[in-house]
Amino acid sequence: MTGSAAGFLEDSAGYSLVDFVPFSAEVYFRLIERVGETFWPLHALALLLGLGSTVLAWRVRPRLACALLAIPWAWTGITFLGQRYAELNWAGRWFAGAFGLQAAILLLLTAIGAGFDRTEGGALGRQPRVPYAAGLLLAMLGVVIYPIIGPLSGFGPFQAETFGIHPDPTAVATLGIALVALRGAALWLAAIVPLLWCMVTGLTLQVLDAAWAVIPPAAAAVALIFTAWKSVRSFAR
Amino acid sequence: MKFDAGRRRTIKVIAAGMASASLGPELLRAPDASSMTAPMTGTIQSSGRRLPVIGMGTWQTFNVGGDEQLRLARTEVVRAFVEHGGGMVDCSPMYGSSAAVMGFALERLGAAESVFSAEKVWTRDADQTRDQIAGQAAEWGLERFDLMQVHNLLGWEAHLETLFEMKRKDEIGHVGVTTSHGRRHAELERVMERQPLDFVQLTYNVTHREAEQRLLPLARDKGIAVIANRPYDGGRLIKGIQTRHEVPGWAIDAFDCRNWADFLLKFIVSHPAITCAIPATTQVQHMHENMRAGRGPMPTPELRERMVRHVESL
Repeated sequence: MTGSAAGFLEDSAGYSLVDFVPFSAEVYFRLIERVGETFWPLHALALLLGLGSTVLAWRVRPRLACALLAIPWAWTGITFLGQRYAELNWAGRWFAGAFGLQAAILLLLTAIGAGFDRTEGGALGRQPRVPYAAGLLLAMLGVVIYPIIGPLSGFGPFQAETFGIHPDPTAVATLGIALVALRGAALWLAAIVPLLWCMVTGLTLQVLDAAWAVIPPAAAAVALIFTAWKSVRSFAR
Repeated sequence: MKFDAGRRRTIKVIAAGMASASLGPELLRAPDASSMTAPMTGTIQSSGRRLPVIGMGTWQTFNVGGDEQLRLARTEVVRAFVEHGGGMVDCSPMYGSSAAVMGFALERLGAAESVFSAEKVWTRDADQTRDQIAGQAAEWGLERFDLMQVHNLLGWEAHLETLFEMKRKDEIGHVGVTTSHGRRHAELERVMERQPLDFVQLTYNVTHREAEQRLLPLARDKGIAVIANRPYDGGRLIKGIQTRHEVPGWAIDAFDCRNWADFLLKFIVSHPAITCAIPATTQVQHMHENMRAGRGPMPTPELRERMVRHVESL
Protein backbone atom coordinates (compact mmCIF):
# COMPACT_ATOMS: atom_id res chain seq x y z
CA MET A 1 0.00 0.00 0.00
CA THR A 2 1.36 3.44 -0.85
CA GLY A 3 2.01 5.96 1.87
CA SER A 4 -0.82 8.14 0.61
CA ALA A 5 -3.33 5.32 0.52
CA ALA A 6 -2.37 4.15 3.97
CA GLY A 7 -2.51 7.71 5.15
CA PHE A 8 -5.99 8.14 3.84
CA LEU A 9 -7.23 5.01 5.54
CA GLU A 10 -5.55 5.95 8.80
CA ASP A 11 -6.89 9.42 8.55
CA SER A 12 -10.45 8.75 7.49
CA ALA A 13 -12.29 8.88 10.81
CA GLY A 14 -14.61 11.84 11.11
CA TYR A 15 -15.22 12.38 7.40
CA SER A 16 -18.61 12.08 5.80
CA LEU A 17 -19.26 10.01 2.69
CA VAL A 18 -18.97 13.01 0.39
CA ASP A 19 -15.40 13.57 1.55
CA PHE A 20 -14.32 10.24 0.05
CA VAL A 21 -15.29 11.26 -3.49
CA PRO A 22 -12.65 13.69 -4.80
CA PHE A 23 -14.52 14.73 -7.96
CA SER A 24 -17.82 16.35 -8.84
CA ALA A 25 -20.82 14.84 -10.61
CA GLU A 26 -20.04 16.95 -13.67
CA VAL A 27 -16.56 15.44 -13.93
CA TYR A 28 -17.69 11.84 -13.41
CA PHE A 29 -20.47 11.98 -15.98
CA ARG A 30 -18.12 13.68 -18.43
CA LEU A 31 -15.75 10.75 -17.86
CA ILE A 32 -18.57 8.34 -18.71
CA GLU A 33 -19.23 10.40 -21.84
CA ARG A 34 -15.59 10.69 -22.92
CA VAL A 35 -15.11 6.94 -22.65
CA GLY A 36 -18.34 6.40 -24.58
CA GLU A 37 -17.18 8.76 -27.35
CA THR A 38 -13.67 7.35 -27.48
CA PHE A 39 -14.67 3.74 -27.99
CA TRP A 40 -17.74 4.15 -30.18
CA PRO A 41 -18.77 1.95 -32.06
CA LEU A 42 -17.17 -0.74 -29.91
CA HIS A 43 -20.42 -0.69 -27.94
CA ALA A 44 -22.11 -2.96 -30.51
CA LEU A 45 -19.40 -5.58 -30.12
CA ALA A 46 -19.54 -5.30 -26.34
CA LEU A 47 -23.30 -5.72 -26.44
CA LEU A 48 -22.92 -8.86 -28.54
CA LEU A 49 -20.32 -10.14 -26.10
CA GLY A 50 -22.68 -9.56 -23.17
CA LEU A 51 -25.63 -11.20 -24.91
CA GLY A 52 -23.42 -14.04 -26.10
CA SER A 53 -22.07 -14.72 -22.61
CA THR A 54 -25.59 -14.74 -21.21
CA VAL A 55 -26.89 -17.13 -23.86
CA LEU A 56 -23.88 -19.43 -23.44
CA ALA A 57 -24.41 -19.56 -19.70
CA TRP A 58 -28.10 -20.19 -20.21
CA ARG A 59 -27.58 -22.93 -22.82
CA VAL A 60 -25.15 -24.84 -20.61
CA ARG A 61 -21.86 -23.60 -22.07
CA PRO A 62 -20.69 -22.01 -18.81
CA ARG A 63 -16.97 -22.44 -19.38
CA LEU A 64 -17.01 -20.41 -22.58
CA ALA A 65 -19.27 -17.80 -20.99
CA CYS A 66 -16.79 -17.43 -18.16
CA ALA A 67 -13.86 -17.05 -20.55
CA LEU A 68 -15.65 -14.35 -22.55
CA LEU A 69 -16.47 -12.41 -19.38
CA ALA A 70 -12.77 -11.95 -18.65
CA ILE A 71 -12.43 -9.65 -21.68
CA PRO A 72 -14.70 -6.78 -20.51
CA TRP A 73 -13.20 -6.92 -17.01
CA ALA A 74 -9.67 -6.55 -18.33
CA TRP A 75 -10.77 -3.88 -20.84
CA THR A 76 -12.71 -1.67 -18.43
CA GLY A 77 -10.05 -2.13 -15.77
CA ILE A 78 -7.41 -0.76 -18.12
CA THR A 79 -9.26 1.79 -20.24
CA PHE A 80 -11.78 3.21 -17.78
CA LEU A 81 -10.26 2.77 -14.34
CA GLY A 82 -6.53 2.59 -14.96
CA GLN A 83 -6.15 5.14 -17.74
CA ARG A 84 -8.86 7.67 -16.85
CA TYR A 85 -10.57 7.22 -13.48
CA ALA A 86 -7.18 6.94 -11.74
CA GLU A 87 -6.45 10.53 -12.82
CA LEU A 88 -9.30 11.63 -10.58
CA ASN A 89 -8.94 9.30 -7.63
CA TRP A 90 -5.81 7.76 -6.15
CA ALA A 91 -7.90 4.66 -5.41
CA GLY A 92 -8.45 4.21 -9.16
CA ARG A 93 -5.21 2.24 -9.45
CA TRP A 94 -6.48 -0.19 -6.82
CA PHE A 95 -9.85 -0.50 -8.52
CA ALA A 96 -8.10 -1.16 -11.83
CA GLY A 97 -6.07 -3.85 -10.13
CA ALA A 98 -9.24 -5.41 -8.72
CA PHE A 99 -10.75 -5.52 -12.22
CA GLY A 100 -7.60 -7.18 -13.51
CA LEU A 101 -7.83 -9.67 -10.66
CA GLN A 102 -11.42 -10.43 -11.62
CA ALA A 103 -10.36 -11.11 -15.20
CA ALA A 104 -7.67 -13.43 -13.87
CA ILE A 105 -10.17 -15.24 -11.62
CA LEU A 106 -12.52 -15.82 -14.54
CA LEU A 107 -9.69 -17.15 -16.71
CA LEU A 108 -8.45 -19.34 -13.85
CA LEU A 109 -11.91 -20.84 -13.38
CA THR A 110 -12.08 -21.44 -17.12
CA ALA A 111 -8.69 -23.15 -17.10
CA ILE A 112 -9.43 -25.33 -14.08
CA GLY A 113 -12.88 -26.23 -15.35
CA ALA A 114 -14.25 -26.75 -11.86
CA GLY A 115 -17.33 -25.15 -10.31
CA PHE A 116 -19.38 -24.84 -13.50
CA ASP A 117 -23.08 -25.46 -13.36
CA ARG A 118 -23.92 -27.96 -16.09
CA THR A 119 -27.35 -28.90 -14.82
CA GLU A 120 -29.28 -30.03 -17.89
CA GLY A 121 -32.37 -28.30 -19.25
CA GLY A 122 -31.19 -24.76 -19.83
CA ALA A 123 -31.27 -22.19 -17.07
CA LEU A 124 -35.04 -21.97 -16.77
CA GLY A 125 -35.43 -25.74 -16.95
CA ARG A 126 -33.23 -26.27 -13.91
CA GLN A 127 -34.33 -26.82 -10.36
CA PRO A 128 -34.68 -24.67 -8.38
CA ARG A 129 -35.56 -22.16 -11.07
CA VAL A 130 -35.48 -18.97 -9.04
CA PRO A 131 -31.66 -18.41 -8.78
CA TYR A 132 -31.27 -19.01 -12.52
CA ALA A 133 -34.15 -16.69 -13.37
CA ALA A 134 -32.69 -14.04 -11.07
CA GLY A 135 -29.31 -14.48 -12.77
CA LEU A 136 -30.78 -14.02 -16.23
CA LEU A 137 -32.65 -10.92 -15.08
CA LEU A 138 -29.47 -9.42 -13.62
CA ALA A 139 -27.60 -10.20 -16.83
CA MET A 140 -30.31 -8.48 -18.87
CA LEU A 141 -30.24 -5.53 -16.48
CA GLY A 142 -26.51 -5.13 -17.07
CA VAL A 143 -26.46 -5.74 -20.80
CA VAL A 144 -29.80 -4.44 -22.10
CA ILE A 145 -31.34 -2.09 -19.52
CA TYR A 146 -28.24 -0.27 -18.29
CA PRO A 147 -27.51 1.58 -21.55
CA ILE A 148 -30.90 3.28 -21.47
CA ILE A 149 -30.77 4.41 -17.83
CA GLY A 150 -28.56 7.44 -18.49
CA PRO A 151 -30.47 8.75 -21.51
CA LEU A 152 -33.78 8.21 -19.70
CA SER A 153 -32.38 10.28 -16.82
CA GLY A 154 -31.66 13.19 -19.14
CA PHE A 155 -28.05 12.44 -20.07
CA GLY A 156 -26.62 12.37 -23.59
CA PRO A 157 -26.33 9.27 -25.79
CA PHE A 158 -22.61 8.82 -25.10
CA GLN A 159 -23.36 8.84 -21.38
CA ALA A 160 -25.20 5.56 -21.85
CA GLU A 161 -23.29 3.09 -19.68
CA THR A 162 -22.56 -0.05 -21.67
CA PHE A 163 -21.48 -3.55 -20.69
CA GLY A 164 -17.82 -4.01 -21.57
CA ILE A 165 -17.21 -0.27 -21.95
CA HIS A 166 -18.17 1.00 -18.49
CA PRO A 167 -17.60 -0.79 -15.17
CA ASP A 168 -21.07 -0.67 -13.57
CA PRO A 169 -23.05 -2.64 -16.18
CA THR A 170 -20.10 -5.01 -16.52
CA ALA A 171 -20.25 -5.79 -12.80
CA VAL A 172 -24.05 -6.14 -12.69
CA ALA A 173 -24.19 -8.42 -15.75
CA THR A 174 -21.31 -10.53 -14.42
CA LEU A 175 -23.18 -11.14 -11.17
CA GLY A 176 -26.11 -12.43 -13.19
CA ILE A 177 -24.09 -14.58 -15.59
CA ALA A 178 -22.06 -16.05 -12.75
CA LEU A 179 -25.27 -16.95 -10.93
CA VAL A 180 -26.35 -18.98 -13.96
CA ALA A 181 -22.97 -20.43 -14.93
CA LEU A 182 -21.29 -21.25 -11.64
CA ARG A 183 -21.94 -22.96 -8.36
CA GLY A 184 -20.33 -23.45 -4.95
CA ALA A 185 -16.97 -21.87 -4.17
CA ALA A 186 -16.40 -20.91 -7.81
CA LEU A 187 -19.59 -18.84 -7.79
CA TRP A 188 -18.52 -17.01 -4.64
CA LEU A 189 -15.03 -16.46 -6.02
CA ALA A 190 -16.39 -14.94 -9.22
CA ALA A 191 -18.86 -12.75 -7.34
CA ILE A 192 -16.61 -11.07 -4.76
CA VAL A 193 -15.10 -8.29 -6.91
CA PRO A 194 -18.38 -7.44 -8.72
CA LEU A 195 -20.20 -7.32 -5.36
CA LEU A 196 -17.61 -4.98 -3.88
CA TRP A 197 -17.60 -2.78 -6.96
CA CYS A 198 -21.40 -2.49 -6.86
CA MET A 199 -21.14 -1.18 -3.30
CA VAL A 200 -18.33 1.26 -4.14
CA THR A 201 -20.07 2.64 -7.21
CA GLY A 202 -23.43 2.80 -5.43
CA LEU A 203 -21.94 4.98 -2.68
CA THR A 204 -20.16 7.13 -5.26
CA LEU A 205 -23.34 7.64 -7.28
CA GLN A 206 -25.22 8.46 -4.10
CA VAL A 207 -22.74 11.25 -3.34
CA LEU A 208 -23.07 12.46 -6.92
CA ASP A 209 -26.89 12.48 -6.60
CA ALA A 210 -27.39 10.09 -9.52
CA ALA A 211 -31.01 8.97 -9.78
CA TRP A 212 -29.94 5.36 -10.36
CA ALA A 213 -27.51 5.17 -7.42
CA VAL A 214 -29.56 2.41 -5.81
CA ILE A 215 -29.33 0.04 -8.78
CA PRO A 216 -25.80 -1.40 -8.31
CA PRO A 217 -26.20 -2.11 -4.58
CA ALA A 218 -29.70 -3.49 -5.18
CA ALA A 219 -28.31 -5.77 -7.88
CA ALA A 220 -25.55 -6.82 -5.49
CA ALA A 221 -28.12 -7.59 -2.78
CA VAL A 222 -30.18 -9.72 -5.17
CA ALA A 223 -27.04 -11.54 -6.36
CA LEU A 224 -25.92 -12.12 -2.79
CA ILE A 225 -29.27 -13.57 -1.74
CA PHE A 226 -29.51 -15.97 -4.68
CA THR A 227 -25.85 -16.94 -4.55
CA ALA A 228 -26.40 -17.93 -0.93
CA TRP A 229 -29.65 -19.70 -1.84
CA LYS A 230 -27.96 -21.66 -4.62
CA SER A 231 -25.05 -22.60 -2.35
CA VAL A 232 -27.34 -23.80 0.41
CA ARG A 233 -29.43 -25.89 -2.01
CA SER A 234 -26.29 -27.41 -3.54
CA PHE A 235 -24.97 -28.24 -0.09
CA ALA A 236 -28.31 -29.77 0.94
CA ARG A 237 -28.12 -32.18 -1.98
CA MET B 1 7.51 31.94 -6.83
CA LYS B 2 7.11 35.43 -5.40
CA PHE B 3 3.65 36.82 -4.90
CA ASP B 4 4.22 40.41 -5.87
CA ALA B 5 1.48 43.05 -5.67
CA GLY B 6 2.93 45.15 -8.52
CA ARG B 7 3.24 42.19 -10.82
CA ARG B 8 -0.18 41.13 -9.72
CA ARG B 9 -1.69 44.40 -10.88
CA THR B 10 0.07 44.07 -14.23
CA ILE B 11 -1.18 40.54 -14.66
CA LYS B 12 -4.62 41.74 -13.66
CA VAL B 13 -4.67 44.29 -16.46
CA ILE B 14 -3.40 41.75 -18.98
CA ALA B 15 -5.88 39.17 -17.78
CA ALA B 16 -8.74 41.64 -17.99
CA GLY B 17 -7.75 42.39 -21.58
CA MET B 18 -7.60 38.70 -22.39
CA ALA B 19 -10.95 38.23 -20.78
CA SER B 20 -12.47 41.05 -22.83
CA ALA B 21 -11.15 39.46 -25.99
CA SER B 22 -12.17 35.93 -25.30
CA LEU B 23 -15.13 35.73 -22.95
CA GLY B 24 -18.79 35.75 -23.76
CA PRO B 25 -21.22 38.31 -22.32
CA GLU B 26 -22.18 36.10 -19.40
CA LEU B 27 -18.59 35.76 -18.26
CA LEU B 28 -17.71 39.32 -19.06
CA ARG B 29 -19.27 40.62 -15.86
CA ALA B 30 -16.27 42.73 -15.08
CA PRO B 31 -15.73 43.67 -11.48
CA ASP B 32 -18.02 46.58 -10.64
CA ALA B 33 -16.96 49.81 -8.96
CA SER B 34 -17.04 48.42 -5.46
CA SER B 35 -15.00 45.40 -6.46
CA MET B 36 -12.30 47.69 -7.76
CA THR B 37 -11.62 48.96 -4.27
CA ALA B 38 -8.55 47.44 -2.73
CA PRO B 39 -9.08 43.93 -1.41
CA MET B 40 -8.68 43.45 2.31
CA THR B 41 -5.41 41.70 3.10
CA GLY B 42 -4.16 39.60 5.98
CA THR B 43 -0.60 39.54 7.20
CA ILE B 44 1.67 36.53 7.38
CA GLN B 45 3.20 37.44 10.70
CA SER B 46 6.40 35.46 10.26
CA SER B 47 7.39 37.08 6.97
CA GLY B 48 5.44 40.31 7.01
CA ARG B 49 3.96 39.60 3.60
CA ARG B 50 0.33 40.38 2.95
CA LEU B 51 -2.28 38.22 1.24
CA PRO B 52 -5.81 38.98 -0.02
CA VAL B 53 -8.20 37.56 2.55
CA ILE B 54 -10.01 35.52 -0.09
CA GLY B 55 -8.05 32.77 -1.78
CA MET B 56 -9.25 29.66 -3.50
CA GLY B 57 -9.38 25.96 -2.75
CA THR B 58 -9.24 23.19 -5.35
CA TRP B 59 -10.71 20.11 -3.60
CA GLN B 60 -13.12 18.39 -6.02
CA THR B 61 -13.55 21.52 -8.14
CA PHE B 62 -10.25 21.31 -10.07
CA ASN B 63 -9.99 17.53 -10.23
CA VAL B 64 -11.10 17.14 -13.86
CA GLY B 65 -8.35 14.82 -15.13
CA GLY B 66 -7.33 15.15 -18.76
CA ASP B 67 -10.72 16.47 -19.91
CA GLU B 68 -9.73 19.41 -22.16
CA GLN B 69 -13.20 20.95 -22.10
CA LEU B 70 -13.35 21.02 -18.32
CA ARG B 71 -9.73 22.17 -18.05
CA LEU B 72 -10.58 25.19 -20.19
CA ALA B 73 -13.65 25.88 -18.06
CA ARG B 74 -11.53 25.81 -14.90
CA THR B 75 -9.02 28.12 -16.59
CA GLU B 76 -11.80 30.72 -16.81
CA VAL B 77 -12.36 30.37 -13.07
CA VAL B 78 -8.67 31.05 -12.46
CA ARG B 79 -8.86 33.96 -14.91
CA ALA B 80 -11.64 35.51 -12.80
CA PHE B 81 -9.53 34.94 -9.67
CA VAL B 82 -6.60 36.72 -11.29
CA GLU B 83 -8.83 39.56 -12.50
CA HIS B 84 -9.64 40.25 -8.89
CA GLY B 85 -5.99 40.30 -7.93
CA GLY B 86 -5.36 36.62 -7.19
CA GLY B 87 -4.03 35.39 -3.88
CA MET B 88 -3.65 32.01 -2.22
CA VAL B 89 -4.44 28.85 -4.18
CA ASP B 90 -4.46 25.73 -2.03
CA CYS B 91 -4.01 22.19 -3.32
CA SER B 92 -2.89 18.71 -2.22
CA PRO B 93 -1.67 15.42 -3.67
CA MET B 94 -4.92 14.01 -2.27
CA TYR B 95 -6.93 16.10 -4.76
CA GLY B 96 -6.27 13.90 -7.79
CA SER B 97 -5.47 15.92 -10.90
CA SER B 98 -6.15 19.33 -9.30
CA ALA B 99 -2.48 20.35 -9.27
CA ALA B 100 -2.06 19.45 -12.94
CA VAL B 101 -5.22 21.34 -13.86
CA MET B 102 -4.04 24.38 -11.90
CA GLY B 103 -0.72 24.15 -13.74
CA PHE B 104 -2.59 23.99 -17.04
CA ALA B 105 -4.60 27.12 -16.16
CA LEU B 106 -1.63 29.11 -14.90
CA GLU B 107 0.41 28.32 -17.98
CA ARG B 108 -2.43 29.31 -20.31
CA LEU B 109 -2.99 32.56 -18.46
CA GLY B 110 0.67 33.26 -17.84
CA ALA B 111 -0.48 34.00 -14.33
CA ALA B 112 1.85 32.01 -12.10
CA GLU B 113 3.05 35.20 -10.42
CA SER B 114 -0.53 36.11 -9.46
CA VAL B 115 -0.98 33.27 -7.04
CA PHE B 116 0.43 32.45 -3.65
CA SER B 117 0.95 28.73 -4.17
CA ALA B 118 0.03 26.55 -1.20
CA GLU B 119 0.61 22.80 -1.45
CA LYS B 120 0.70 19.88 0.94
CA VAL B 121 2.66 16.77 1.74
CA TRP B 122 0.30 13.82 2.10
CA THR B 123 2.12 10.62 2.90
CA ARG B 124 3.19 8.87 6.09
CA ASP B 125 6.48 7.91 4.41
CA ALA B 126 9.07 10.41 5.66
CA ASP B 127 11.42 9.49 2.83
CA GLN B 128 8.86 10.70 0.30
CA THR B 129 8.61 14.32 1.45
CA ARG B 130 10.93 15.87 -1.13
CA ASP B 131 9.84 13.56 -3.95
CA GLN B 132 6.18 14.38 -3.40
CA ILE B 133 6.88 18.10 -3.30
CA ALA B 134 8.91 17.86 -6.51
CA GLY B 135 6.11 15.91 -8.16
CA GLN B 136 3.51 18.50 -7.20
CA ALA B 137 5.78 21.35 -8.31
CA ALA B 138 6.08 19.71 -11.73
CA GLU B 139 2.28 19.48 -11.93
CA TRP B 140 1.89 23.16 -11.08
CA GLY B 141 4.75 24.13 -13.40
CA LEU B 142 6.53 25.87 -10.53
CA GLU B 143 10.02 25.65 -9.11
CA ARG B 144 9.10 26.70 -5.61
CA PHE B 145 5.97 26.77 -3.47
CA ASP B 146 5.13 29.79 -1.36
CA LEU B 147 3.72 27.52 1.32
CA MET B 148 4.15 23.81 1.99
CA GLN B 149 1.88 22.21 4.57
CA VAL B 150 1.63 18.80 6.21
CA HIS B 151 -1.78 17.51 5.17
CA ASN B 152 -4.02 16.61 8.10
CA LEU B 153 -0.98 16.30 10.37
CA LEU B 154 -0.07 13.01 8.68
CA GLY B 155 3.47 12.11 9.74
CA TRP B 156 4.04 15.70 10.76
CA GLU B 157 7.13 15.15 12.92
CA ALA B 158 9.34 13.88 10.12
CA HIS B 159 7.83 16.07 7.42
CA LEU B 160 8.23 19.28 9.41
CA GLU B 161 11.91 18.56 9.92
CA THR B 162 12.37 18.34 6.16
CA LEU B 163 10.15 21.35 5.46
CA PHE B 164 12.00 23.61 7.90
CA GLU B 165 15.24 22.52 6.28
CA MET B 166 13.82 23.36 2.85
CA LYS B 167 12.67 26.74 4.12
CA ARG B 168 16.16 27.49 5.45
CA LYS B 169 17.51 26.79 1.97
CA ASP B 170 14.77 28.98 0.45
CA GLU B 171 13.35 25.99 -1.44
CA ILE B 172 9.90 26.81 -0.06
CA GLY B 173 8.54 30.08 1.27
CA HIS B 174 6.60 29.12 4.37
CA VAL B 175 5.76 26.04 6.43
CA GLY B 176 2.42 24.97 7.82
CA VAL B 177 0.21 22.12 8.96
CA THR B 178 -3.44 21.47 8.20
CA THR B 179 -6.48 19.82 9.62
CA SER B 180 -10.11 19.88 8.56
CA HIS B 181 -13.59 18.95 9.68
CA GLY B 182 -12.70 20.03 13.23
CA ARG B 183 -10.52 16.97 13.70
CA ARG B 184 -7.38 16.49 15.84
CA HIS B 185 -7.54 19.96 17.35
CA ALA B 186 -5.75 18.87 20.52
CA GLU B 187 -2.82 17.56 18.51
CA LEU B 188 -2.82 20.65 16.31
CA GLU B 189 -2.65 22.80 19.42
CA ARG B 190 0.40 20.91 20.65
CA VAL B 191 2.12 21.33 17.28
CA MET B 192 1.33 25.04 17.24
CA GLU B 193 2.80 25.45 20.71
CA ARG B 194 6.05 23.63 19.97
CA GLN B 195 6.87 24.23 16.30
CA PRO B 196 7.86 27.52 14.58
CA LEU B 197 5.00 27.35 12.09
CA ASP B 198 4.22 30.11 9.61
CA PHE B 199 0.70 28.83 8.87
CA VAL B 200 -2.00 26.57 10.17
CA GLN B 201 -5.03 25.56 8.16
CA LEU B 202 -8.25 24.52 9.87
CA THR B 203 -11.99 24.44 9.36
CA TYR B 204 -13.71 27.62 10.43
CA ASN B 205 -17.08 28.97 9.34
CA VAL B 206 -20.24 30.37 10.85
CA THR B 207 -21.48 26.89 11.78
CA HIS B 208 -18.11 25.40 12.79
CA ARG B 209 -16.53 27.74 15.31
CA GLU B 210 -14.72 25.33 17.62
CA ALA B 211 -11.40 26.91 16.61
CA GLU B 212 -12.46 30.15 18.32
CA GLN B 213 -11.98 28.55 21.73
CA ARG B 214 -8.27 27.79 21.72
CA LEU B 215 -6.68 27.56 18.28
CA LEU B 216 -7.39 31.04 16.93
CA PRO B 217 -6.27 32.82 20.14
CA LEU B 218 -3.16 30.61 20.19
CA ALA B 219 -2.41 31.46 16.55
CA ARG B 220 -2.56 35.18 17.39
CA ASP B 221 -0.30 34.71 20.40
CA LYS B 222 2.25 32.71 18.43
CA GLY B 223 2.10 34.88 15.30
CA ILE B 224 0.85 32.03 13.09
CA ALA B 225 -1.17 32.88 10.00
CA VAL B 226 -4.48 31.00 9.73
CA ILE B 227 -6.14 29.64 6.59
CA ALA B 228 -9.85 28.85 7.00
CA ASN B 229 -10.88 25.85 4.90
CA ARG B 230 -14.40 24.61 4.17
CA PRO B 231 -15.88 28.13 4.44
CA TYR B 232 -19.12 26.83 2.91
CA ASP B 233 -18.87 23.47 4.74
CA GLY B 234 -18.12 21.68 1.50
CA GLY B 235 -20.86 23.61 -0.33
CA ARG B 236 -23.65 22.25 1.85
CA LEU B 237 -23.90 25.39 3.97
CA ILE B 238 -24.34 27.93 1.19
CA LYS B 239 -26.52 25.67 -0.99
CA GLY B 240 -28.81 24.93 1.92
CA ILE B 241 -29.12 28.50 3.11
CA GLN B 242 -29.43 30.43 -0.15
CA THR B 243 -32.21 28.26 -1.55
CA ARG B 244 -34.47 28.93 1.43
CA HIS B 245 -33.52 32.30 2.85
CA GLU B 246 -32.83 35.88 1.83
CA VAL B 247 -29.82 37.75 3.15
CA PRO B 248 -31.08 39.71 6.20
CA GLY B 249 -31.72 43.39 5.63
CA TRP B 250 -29.64 44.46 8.63
CA ALA B 251 -26.58 42.81 7.06
CA ILE B 252 -27.15 44.72 3.83
CA ASP B 253 -27.40 47.98 5.76
CA ALA B 254 -24.49 47.29 8.09
CA PHE B 255 -21.77 46.02 5.74
CA ASP B 256 -23.18 46.09 2.23
CA CYS B 257 -23.82 42.36 2.26
CA ARG B 258 -25.08 41.49 -1.21
CA ASN B 259 -25.48 37.73 -1.08
CA TRP B 260 -24.82 34.69 1.10
CA ALA B 261 -21.27 34.36 -0.19
CA ASP B 262 -20.66 37.86 1.18
CA PHE B 263 -22.32 36.97 4.48
CA LEU B 264 -20.49 33.69 5.04
CA LEU B 265 -17.04 34.78 3.84
CA LYS B 266 -17.05 38.16 5.55
CA PHE B 267 -17.93 36.41 8.79
CA ILE B 268 -14.79 34.29 8.48
CA VAL B 269 -12.27 36.86 7.31
CA SER B 270 -13.43 39.49 9.80
CA HIS B 271 -12.11 37.33 12.63
CA PRO B 272 -8.83 39.01 13.63
CA ALA B 273 -6.88 35.74 13.69
CA ILE B 274 -7.88 34.64 10.18
CA THR B 275 -5.43 35.44 7.40
CA CYS B 276 -7.48 34.10 4.50
CA ALA B 277 -10.35 31.82 3.56
CA ILE B 278 -10.18 29.43 0.62
CA PRO B 279 -13.61 28.82 -0.94
CA ALA B 280 -13.66 26.47 -3.94
CA THR B 281 -15.87 26.80 -6.99
CA THR B 282 -16.27 25.60 -10.56
CA GLN B 283 -18.26 28.69 -11.60
CA VAL B 284 -16.85 32.00 -12.84
CA GLN B 285 -19.81 33.88 -11.40
CA HIS B 286 -19.28 32.31 -8.00
CA MET B 287 -15.60 33.25 -8.15
CA HIS B 288 -16.61 36.87 -8.73
CA GLU B 289 -18.95 36.67 -5.73
CA ASN B 290 -16.30 35.07 -3.56
CA MET B 291 -13.67 37.65 -4.44
CA ARG B 292 -16.02 40.58 -3.91
CA ALA B 293 -16.52 39.36 -0.35
CA GLY B 294 -12.92 40.33 0.35
CA ARG B 295 -13.62 43.99 -0.36
CA GLY B 296 -15.64 46.73 1.27
CA PRO B 297 -16.81 47.05 4.86
CA MET B 298 -16.51 44.11 7.22
CA PRO B 299 -18.78 43.17 10.13
CA THR B 300 -17.84 44.37 13.60
CA PRO B 301 -17.50 41.92 16.52
CA GLU B 302 -21.06 42.76 17.59
CA LEU B 303 -22.35 42.10 14.08
CA ARG B 304 -20.45 38.82 13.94
CA GLU B 305 -22.30 37.66 17.04
CA ARG B 306 -25.56 38.67 15.41
CA MET B 307 -24.59 36.73 12.27
CA VAL B 308 -24.07 33.60 14.34
CA ARG B 309 -27.43 34.01 16.08
CA HIS B 310 -29.14 34.64 12.76
CA VAL B 311 -27.75 31.50 11.10
CA GLU B 312 -28.58 29.44 14.19
CA SER B 313 -32.15 30.69 13.99
CA LEU B 314 -32.65 29.56 10.39
